[in-house]
Amino acid sequence: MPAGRKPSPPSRADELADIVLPDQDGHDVRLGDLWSERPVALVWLRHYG
Amino acid sequence: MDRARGDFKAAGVNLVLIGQATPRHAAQFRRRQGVQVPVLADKDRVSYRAVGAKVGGVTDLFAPKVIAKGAVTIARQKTIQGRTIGDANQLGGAVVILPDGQITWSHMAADAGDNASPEEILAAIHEAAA
Repeated sequence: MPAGRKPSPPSRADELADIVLPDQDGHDVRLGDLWSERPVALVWLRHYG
Repeated sequence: MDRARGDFKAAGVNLVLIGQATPRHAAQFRRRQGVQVPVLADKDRVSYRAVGAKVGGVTDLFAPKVIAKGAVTIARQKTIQGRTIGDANQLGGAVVILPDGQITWSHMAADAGDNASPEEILAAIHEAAA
């Protein structure tokens, strides 16, 4: 992607929904469960710091 | 971002952070930064790819305007970036997802200094609810 170009996410979160990631305690979290009952704001960090 | 967690809760929205590296790094990040919202660990950056987050080039990371924005952020938040863990070229972003799976708002980083503020995200949430 060219420098300075802003990427576009998909219009739906279907691909994200089935991804399972561990939380800070090592417990698996299915992303789709995060918005199954209420909206979610997901923020991807560039770094931990 | 964590400072606004009460505003997100009041708006009826879950706020979840995702970072590179391991659960142990995520736990250290929460402890060091005083973060209370959940932090998920995506060592393989699967979710970064799925949401279309950009992997930046040199210009996206070190252009003068990017460095200047970083300096402003440090001054405003009074925090200094810790050691980079994972791919330093990986940029982040933010999305708001409704229970039906629709992504109603997004701000994906175009460069290393291009981050959505909590106020921007909350405004998008209020707009979606209106």
